[in-house]
Amino acid sequence: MGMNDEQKEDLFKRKLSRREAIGTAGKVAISAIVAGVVAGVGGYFAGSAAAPGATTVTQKVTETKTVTAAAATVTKTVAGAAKTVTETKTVTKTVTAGAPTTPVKPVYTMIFASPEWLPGRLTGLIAKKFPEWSARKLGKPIAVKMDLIPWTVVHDRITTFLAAKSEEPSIFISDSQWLGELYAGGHIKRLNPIIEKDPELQQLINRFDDSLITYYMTYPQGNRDCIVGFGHEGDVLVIVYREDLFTHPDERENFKAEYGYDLPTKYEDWYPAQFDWYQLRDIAKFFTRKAGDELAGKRLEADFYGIATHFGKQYDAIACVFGTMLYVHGEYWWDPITGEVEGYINSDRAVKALEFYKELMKYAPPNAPEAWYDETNAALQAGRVAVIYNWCGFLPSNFDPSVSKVYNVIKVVPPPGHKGDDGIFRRYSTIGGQPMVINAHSKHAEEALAFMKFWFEPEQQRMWAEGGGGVCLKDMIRTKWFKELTPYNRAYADSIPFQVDFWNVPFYPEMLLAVQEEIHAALMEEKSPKQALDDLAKRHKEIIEREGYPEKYPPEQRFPPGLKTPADVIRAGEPMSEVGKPKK
Amino acid sequence: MTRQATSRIRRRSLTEKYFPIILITPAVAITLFLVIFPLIWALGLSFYDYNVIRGGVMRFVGLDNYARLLSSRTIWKRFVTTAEFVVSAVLLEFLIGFGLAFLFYQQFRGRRLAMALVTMPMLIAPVATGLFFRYIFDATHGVVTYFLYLITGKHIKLLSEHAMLSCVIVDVWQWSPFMMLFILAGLEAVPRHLLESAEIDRFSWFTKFRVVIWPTIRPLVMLALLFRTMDALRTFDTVYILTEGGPGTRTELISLHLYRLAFSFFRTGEACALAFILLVLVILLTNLYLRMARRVGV
Repeated sequence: MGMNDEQKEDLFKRKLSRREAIGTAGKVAISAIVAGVVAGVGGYFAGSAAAPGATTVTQKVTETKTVTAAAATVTKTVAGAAKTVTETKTVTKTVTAGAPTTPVKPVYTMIFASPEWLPGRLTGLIAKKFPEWSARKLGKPIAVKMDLIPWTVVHDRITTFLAAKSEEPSIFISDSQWLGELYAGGHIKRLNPIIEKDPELQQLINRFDDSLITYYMTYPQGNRDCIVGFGHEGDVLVIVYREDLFTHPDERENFKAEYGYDLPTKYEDWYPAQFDWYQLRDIAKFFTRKAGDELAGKRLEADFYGIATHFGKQYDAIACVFGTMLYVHGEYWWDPITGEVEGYINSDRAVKALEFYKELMKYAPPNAPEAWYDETNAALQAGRVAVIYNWCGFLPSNFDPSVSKVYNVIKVVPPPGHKGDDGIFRRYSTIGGQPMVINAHSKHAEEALAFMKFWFEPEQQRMWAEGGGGVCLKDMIRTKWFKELTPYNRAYADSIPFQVDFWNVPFYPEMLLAVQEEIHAALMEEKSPKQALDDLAKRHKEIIEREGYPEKYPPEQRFPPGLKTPADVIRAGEPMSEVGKPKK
Repeated sequence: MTRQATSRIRRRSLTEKYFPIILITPAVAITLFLVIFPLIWALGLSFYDYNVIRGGVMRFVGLDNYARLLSSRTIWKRFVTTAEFVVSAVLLEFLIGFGLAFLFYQQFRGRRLAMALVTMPMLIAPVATGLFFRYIFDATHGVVTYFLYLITGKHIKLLSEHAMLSCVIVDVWQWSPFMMLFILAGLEAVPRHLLESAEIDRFSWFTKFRVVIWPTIRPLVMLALLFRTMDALRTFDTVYILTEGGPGTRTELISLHLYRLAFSFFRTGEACALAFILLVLVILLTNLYLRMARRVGV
């Protein structure tokens, strides 16, 4: 009902006393609070009632199966080419967290903080089974709620709640290099006292590959006296290549004529064969073409590139890929025992590694100086590159026909190695992935540890693998079932033993930024590789001296003298499983 | 006068005295709690050696943090980079804003719509601006680089080979309309009769601008320059998203350095000291601008 003009005029003329005004304001405020409380309570119950019983994560995976053709079934035979036909099928795998067998009402909800990506969402889905499991095993049902944080701010968010000594999240994902920073600050628990009393956990430790224990679970790296977490999402850098180009007869013939050896065609040509990064450089150079040139019998409409990988300044993009180049050239960042960097990061081998890394950029797409995992995938998916070197965890979209032009013509293999001047072939690659750790400020550490036991049970691990998670347990990784589950699992499984990480010391962010800035400057020709590495060594030295490493650090936070460090192992060209073993 | 009446008057005068205080108390309390207290706390922290993530004992170091920062070559390099960014961005914004203001000072068909479109970039969050320019400037798939390729036949790597220029372009794209609005407001305030007199006296366009327009718009231009300079000094999000300070440290502004000190390295004491150095710099610049504006009689 509207007001007439007279009423409006009365209203304007009316004088309100302060008491009336305050009284009216008070009534409005109380009404608002009451309404808010009622709405909140209503919303809570409505939300509970509407909560879905089961959630489904669907992941599309394209499996590419190469079958050696029998003479009778081959319809097209190409002279000089391997007699293979490629059968491609797209499989949709669906992982569903079914409703618990007996409905249980959790007595407590534990928070699990994770980056916001497929493994994080999948963890949440699997964790829905935890209330029923904990009710059965611990006698009290406990729920797990995911706090999914965008990748770009995950370190800041997690360190912020730890600095505030927040009790939740009880469990969180830590990038492997944060372990020292978090442990030195007293934010994550040393698990050894608990593991020593628990045979189940002792057995669990033995189910991880040595390199995963070294880099995901211990601080300092390889020190099994200080286990601070359990591997959660395993990840490695792998090679994805265009099989259609590599098997094309004209390309094969031209390549052999130019370089004197064959293009690799099958998995075994890459691994365990001693395929060299310098051969991959040849391949990258060979496939770099201009618009108008011919590629695999077709005229190119746009420029085509040999290799795409990480050359960008973001976070640890350069440090990871340059790290691989450094290791395969037989060098490491520093001596973790003494903190010495001179003669390590600026050694002749390191300079050669950087020169090689920089050379690869010649055959990369123009956006290489800004490229990280996303740009690398984009180049492949657009059909603009022959080879990429990228994280396994980000590969699924390359096999999705809705976004990738090349979904059915790509293959995944482990990365190459390099035969050095000393005649030793070294195959190492930078590790990705993350462990899960327990918040030292949480009152629910016991329950968090129980969750970890639950997590590594076969049923959960199977769900994890089927949903696309990076399984860390070697007994599962090595099975035929796991290796055939996705187009990249075989390469992932074969790559695990030769993974290497950089420093996980408390001052790692400064060390990392110095690498990103100096190497990027060299890639952009602002400095020569030698100058960049000398400057990097100088900066690292300043940081290490300011930090007083290792003198000011308690013995348990130093790399134990007398044990083999990653630097020792890499220089000697030994397997990564040697790290942490006594020096001879 | 009865005792009751006296008491009522006293109560009313008390109410009149305290009522405003009661009204402003929440605002003052919030300001004290959320602005003044953290500011004082941060000032205190700047005299300590403290790492918030590694915890441990806070060690009083006096002016050491300030001394280390002011004697660091890296910090001065960052200030030079920041100055390069601020001067180029603000100058270009001023020139483009000026041109746009004169354009929109004229009456033409579709003026309102054009003005709405021109001012739209200001409404977009800087993070989003950074993200979509990152795609637009991408050297392999970007739209701008594609057209540049068609024209020049070269792959122009805007984000790596011309990183500072790219950051300046994005800032200019987003904030020139802000400058335009201030100058346009100044132009609208120029008295019509003065403009008409200038026309009658057959002033040249430049004389008319110098004698009639500029004195009126100058205070507003100064204010706009002050706001933009302060804002450009604090620029973080667009540059962080576009180049992350690269290539190397080519676009590493002081705000990016401050962020890394505070949230990557957690050198809390040093970060607070740098924040206060920046604050002093902004205060000095503000005074400079205000003095310049006052000189023309604001």
